[in-house]
Amino acid sequence: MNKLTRLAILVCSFLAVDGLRGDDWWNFRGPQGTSAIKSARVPTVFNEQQGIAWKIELPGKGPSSPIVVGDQVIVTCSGGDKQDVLYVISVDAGSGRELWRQQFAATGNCNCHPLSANAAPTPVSDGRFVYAFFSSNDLACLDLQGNLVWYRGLAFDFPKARNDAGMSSSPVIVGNTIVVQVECQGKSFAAGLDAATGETRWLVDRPQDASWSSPLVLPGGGERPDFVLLQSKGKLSVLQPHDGREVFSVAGQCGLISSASLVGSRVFAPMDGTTAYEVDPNGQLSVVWNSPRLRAATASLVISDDQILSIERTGVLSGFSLADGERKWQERILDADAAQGGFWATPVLVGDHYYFFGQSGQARVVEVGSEGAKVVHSYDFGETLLGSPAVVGDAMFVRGDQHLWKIANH
Amino acid sequence: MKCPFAERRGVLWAGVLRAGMVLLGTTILGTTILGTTLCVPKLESAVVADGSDDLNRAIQVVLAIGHEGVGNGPAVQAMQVLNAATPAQIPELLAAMDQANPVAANYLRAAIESAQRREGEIPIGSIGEYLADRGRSSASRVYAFDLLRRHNAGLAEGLIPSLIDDPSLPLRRLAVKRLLAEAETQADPTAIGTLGYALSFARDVDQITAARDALAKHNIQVDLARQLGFVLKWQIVGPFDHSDEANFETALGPETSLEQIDLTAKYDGKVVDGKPAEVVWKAIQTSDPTGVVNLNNEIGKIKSAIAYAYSEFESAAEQDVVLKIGCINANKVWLNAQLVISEDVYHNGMDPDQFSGTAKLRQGKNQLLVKICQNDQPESWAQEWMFQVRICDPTGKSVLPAPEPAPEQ
Repeated sequence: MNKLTRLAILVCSFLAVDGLRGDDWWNFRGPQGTSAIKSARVPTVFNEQQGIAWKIELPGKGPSSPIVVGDQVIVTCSGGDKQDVLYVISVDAGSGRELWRQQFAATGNCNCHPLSANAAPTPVSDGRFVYAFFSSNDLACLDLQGNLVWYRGLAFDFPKARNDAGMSSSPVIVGNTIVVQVECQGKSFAAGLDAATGETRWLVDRPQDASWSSPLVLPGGGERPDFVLLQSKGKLSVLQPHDGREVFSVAGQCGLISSASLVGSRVFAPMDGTTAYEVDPNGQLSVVWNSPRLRAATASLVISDDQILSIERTGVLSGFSLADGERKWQERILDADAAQGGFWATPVLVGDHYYFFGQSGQARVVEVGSEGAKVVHSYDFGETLLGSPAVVGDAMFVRGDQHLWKIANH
Repeated sequence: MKCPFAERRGVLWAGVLRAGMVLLGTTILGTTILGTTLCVPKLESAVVADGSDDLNRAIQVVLAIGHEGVGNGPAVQAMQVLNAATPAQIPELLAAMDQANPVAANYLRAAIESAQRREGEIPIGSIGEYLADRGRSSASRVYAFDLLRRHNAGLAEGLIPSLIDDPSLPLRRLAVKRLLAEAETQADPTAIGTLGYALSFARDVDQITAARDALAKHNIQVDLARQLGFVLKWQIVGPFDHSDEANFETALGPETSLEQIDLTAKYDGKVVDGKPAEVVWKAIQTSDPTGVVNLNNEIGKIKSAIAYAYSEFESAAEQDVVLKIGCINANKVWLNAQLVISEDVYHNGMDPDQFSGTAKLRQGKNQLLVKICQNDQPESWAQEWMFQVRICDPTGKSVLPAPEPAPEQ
């Protein structure tokens, strides 16, 4: 790529970031990576009679979340008898009409747990391009017309980068670098790829232990440059996104599936239960508090302005103090139906309503206060739900193994 | 990519040509000043005048993509041409897929996906001819079939029976799938004939198993292990020590003399309950229809341990084979002392064709040695210690040992 083109793309990307970011949902767990959004107003009642604007069929499975870029809802799927056909699909948010579809053949290992699928990582966007990652370590960059810009087969480069239960770490964008985390018992690495070309900027070895968690961007501000936080089985690391150099690490027992969140300059990491850290300008983390009892299960924590919401496998939802990690209240919100089969999708908090999605397709809307919670609505989507939804404006986009729904009043 | 500097195809081509030639190690005079080169009007008009050349040059750039992102930069520019391809150009793109590595093939696949969304007649005939050419790569023909199915479903469905003996196993799979479905609607003896026919061409474990199960309902028994080429008879020895997962790369017991496996040898095994143990070979034969050998039963439920399994395989001729192992533990496989598979992974699931490697059987006796490493994970789902091995030819058909000669009278 010539330098002028590259420069223009980068300028366009930054303009897009500034101009479009707004309420879009460009990445796993939303704009702040907290799965909480105050401004949206999504129906709290939805069923066949109301609150479902449209429902469309998908060509394949996927625990990945949809993302919303402008008017496009973008979702990845995988299909074929061997989960080796990869899809990236764009749907008009207003009408549910499919705008474009791109498909690829997986270049890496497609084995995964029967419940999961190759389309497990959530795609990420910078508002101008979409970066779709898959369990087979295929990574495609598409423009918003569905045209391929570049493609990488990271397992084509490293065939032992595989996990036969499937991989699910979602990529992040830091500046003009795409950061992917590939941690398994085989070839484990984190890599920074040039967002414009997909060329490798850096690649560092990571612990050879399986992890399904996703990197977290620690955006720069004031004196602090951008950093990226990686969570492995036995440690947390802070890396410089431009060269992959580790500037900080701390040993401990990290969650293997749930991922860390950031509120301001405070990181909430699933480390030894949950540990809150303050990030300094040099990327160093200092412990603010540790709460062994606040232990995220498969779903990541949901963090609002004043509390942390955590749901246990038993169906008990708890509110913990943001200030010290102490439990403030707990409430059983799931009956046997909703808890059946467990849950994988990280819920979302929209205003003061907590939306929960169980593996069996059961959804619950829970009104959350500072002292407790109560279920205000139940709905059965009728198929396996593994992905966390995306929320923009007055709409929530929910994806199942077979369908994509828009929850909205119009 | 909407970039003000990249709207003109001629400009694009300057970049693509330059990058492509640099990639090929060619020196281009006068191209060091990017802006100057990009504004050469002669080049621009010449390139725009010949769309087919544009396409071919872009294809060559994409085909040059290598490992670890090599060639990605030029390919980004080439894709601006390929993404503008028309339906009429699909055959050229398909033809290029035949020479492409899996990553480059996805660039071409994406270009075809964009082309087939455009207005214009899809060249069904050319795509069909491409599909019919069994000399083409499997992946590109599978994609050609997918294209055909999306644009002329009737034609594609009609072709499926002819794919039953196709060298492309994904295409063959379609025909077997059709037969298995048809058999469900048929009565004896037609169903038996259909299933037997499907079984003779099926190569995938799940389809062979499905045919076996269906035939069983018609009181026809199929030796699944034989059909799939599983090795059932083994000599095993162990446990050897594997504390701290330290000995995956350490040669223990029979691994110290790979060229000459001695089945009468005795080895120092793992110290269990404070007692050193001498371990010796033990003959076993698994009765599992998919050849699974459960070492927890055969050697004992021991953590941080290694076992070896040895089998001799008589081949009627020298032949290329694919060794396939399903193993929930870390494992290595040697054929005639040559390492074929090495996977240092624990408790990540198990599938008959989980790991594979190509090898060559020699005529006569062949020695197969497997190393199976158990770690110390305490979780309930991390207690299994087992493996299964099968031998296939390069088309996936089971390779069976040559029959033993009849005893002399």
